[in-house]
Amino acid sequence: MASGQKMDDLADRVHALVEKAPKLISPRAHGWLDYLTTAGFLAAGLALGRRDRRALALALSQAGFVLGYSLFTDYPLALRRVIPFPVHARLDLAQAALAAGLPELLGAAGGGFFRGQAVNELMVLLMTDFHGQRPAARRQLTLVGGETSMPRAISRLERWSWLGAGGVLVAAALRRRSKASLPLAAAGALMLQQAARRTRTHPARVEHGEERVVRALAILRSPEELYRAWSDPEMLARFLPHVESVTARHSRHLEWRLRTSFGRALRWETEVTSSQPDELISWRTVAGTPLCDAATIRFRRGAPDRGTIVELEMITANTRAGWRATVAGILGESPTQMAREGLRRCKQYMETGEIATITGQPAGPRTAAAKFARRFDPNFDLSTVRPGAAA
Amino acid sequence: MKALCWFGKQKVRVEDVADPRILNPRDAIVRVTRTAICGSDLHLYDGYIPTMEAGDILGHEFMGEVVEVGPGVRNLRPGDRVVVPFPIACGNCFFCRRGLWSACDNSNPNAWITEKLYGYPASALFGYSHMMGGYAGGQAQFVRVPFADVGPIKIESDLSDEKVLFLSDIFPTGYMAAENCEIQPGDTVAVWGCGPVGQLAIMSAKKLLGAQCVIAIDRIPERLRMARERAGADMVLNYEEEPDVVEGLKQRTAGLGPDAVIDAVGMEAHANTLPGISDELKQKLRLSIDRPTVLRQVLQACRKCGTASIPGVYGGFVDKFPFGAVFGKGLKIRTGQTHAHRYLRPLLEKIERGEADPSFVITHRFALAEAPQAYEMFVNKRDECIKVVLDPWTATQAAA
Repeated sequence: MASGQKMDDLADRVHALVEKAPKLISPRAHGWLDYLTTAGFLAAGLALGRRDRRALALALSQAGFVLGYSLFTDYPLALRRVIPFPVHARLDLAQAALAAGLPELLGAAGGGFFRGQAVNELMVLLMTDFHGQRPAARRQLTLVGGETSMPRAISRLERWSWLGAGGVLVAAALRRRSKASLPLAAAGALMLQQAARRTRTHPARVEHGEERVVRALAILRSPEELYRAWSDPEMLARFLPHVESVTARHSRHLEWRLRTSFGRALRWETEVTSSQPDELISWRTVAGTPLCDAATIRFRRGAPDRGTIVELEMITANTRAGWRATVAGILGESPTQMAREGLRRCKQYMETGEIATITGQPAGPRTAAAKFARRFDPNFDLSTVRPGAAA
Repeated sequence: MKALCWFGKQKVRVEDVADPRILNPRDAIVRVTRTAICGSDLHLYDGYIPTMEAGDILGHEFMGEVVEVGPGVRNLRPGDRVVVPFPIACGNCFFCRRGLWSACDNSNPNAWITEKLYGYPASALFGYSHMMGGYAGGQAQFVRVPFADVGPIKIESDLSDEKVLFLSDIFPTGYMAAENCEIQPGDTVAVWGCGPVGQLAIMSAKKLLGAQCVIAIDRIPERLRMARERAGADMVLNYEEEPDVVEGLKQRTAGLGPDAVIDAVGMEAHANTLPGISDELKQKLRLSIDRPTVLRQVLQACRKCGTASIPGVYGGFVDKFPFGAVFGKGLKIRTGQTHAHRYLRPLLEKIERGEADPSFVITHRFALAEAPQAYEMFVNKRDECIKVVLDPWTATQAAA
């Protein structure tokens, strides 16, 4: 996490430098330039398309990308003002990276044009006045982080743009292996770092700097049976995805071991803070690196023949969210997934006596990528790829 | 064992793969004696169903002999001859308890995908993409059957495999499509698509549920012939000769329109009309998952306050859905994955009593090893192909 902090500082320093450049381009002018860029890409597509289909596809997709987010940016020339202008700036940067890196990666013609276009866009970015018009926009951006001292949160659109752009730059740098590789790779890494920022949380879910996830599911079993199951450490390990083991240390203390899809082991210890038979159990983390800081499970009898309403609440202190947690979050390993899949697996087991699985069934030859992707399936048994991992 | 695996659009191969084994207490392993290629397998073959992965074993219509059962299966024993319904249902959840088997809550390990897509998770199916559970299918020599104490039906009579095989999917599907029409004496039912499900919907409507008149719609001569001569259709309509289908039906029903309409076509409809061509183009460009050409026609053609029954498969968002016609005419829409488990016993009894024999749809028989050619033939409707049955245990089998 320390390296993450350094990277954030670096990003901030770059930002400060950018702020110093002369701001000659107004938002309206920037809008015109965006539409001009779209037209430029279309023209390039027409010119290059006859020679090279890949260049055509590239030019068209770039045109579509720029046009797409420009139409929805909060500036005078948009169709709907949805995307804050500063976010637009980041999308521009991501787009420039794509334009610079993709021709190299795809082996498309017209690399010179695309790279030139990328440089051109960087200049425009430097000279655009992003804050002059609407000072409010800046505060709006740091939506959640504003009041508390959390790192800036980002939207999904921004995340995927950074991921794509950074990935392309790093890949292009690796393929190229020239003098330009190092700065290219560094820029790409910086962008990937941006992608790993916390996703913006809906303000309603944040209270006193804590994030709450609540999920409920009706299960056709009595509160008594469900309470008993959730009191049994063995059952907890069975229900919660990727949890390898839960062991009772001494009365009221449990030790949890979880393996993430990337193979990283997490270990933490909880104590039971409240336990009311057939009604609820609450845990609080007392040591280690947990997936969440506190959790409560509640049981409430539902309507006749509708079983018991089981509600799982997980609370995470926001300050804890480092980039690893965020990367895990992108791929699904998060309190949200834990609550959703944990309840689903509990329901399957309590209603049918087993948890539905396809791990271990036959299949034709799989690609390496598919095999790797399988690990991110919340119901995949990770011990099958890492023998002995459960030990 | 040998199994038919999917590797991409129009790419299937028979591979040597590991034998399936019991993974959960309520599993059974079945040695497949007969399996079939379903029309809905062609949507996978053509690459229109998302979340398929290279190496997936296809097939959801199969039957065979139980060779092994898990400790939780008490009603089956090795040696039992069974037909396995294509949805996987637990028998314990809210939906299974209400007989809504294909809405089972507990069988899909990848429930989160359809939960995102449709709001609530779908039950699992055999061999039908990872969003539908990712279970290996039955176009193989052996198959693992989860919740084997709930799904498979034992065949205790000496009926041939071919007579009972279609209990696995197309017979219950055709029957439920007709049942959803709530046929009253004197009713006319129009059926779009004379593939296997359409044929069995026609047969069910006419011979089992007492429709006065059934009109079959297709463009392939041999399919229309089978509908009239074998399934029991009273009239046929070839939309290539009579492009205005709605008008054609109006004439055949004296201006009233069919009381019920069945769309047994689904997402890959054909039509040589402007909307038909535009739908094909949109699907090719991946702007749309479905080609709802028939769906629109069906809703347009149905009489006021009639019923539209839709067994055809749709996967995503449908463009220009004529909801005005649905509202304006007060139509009832009945659709969904077949609750196959519900129909196994009653339809088996009908076969045993000789009241129904769904095997008339079979036109081709192949060995499993020849399945890739069989898919190619079926998708192109070559050699008057309507329904293919595969034998997993012979080396080759001349097309019969």
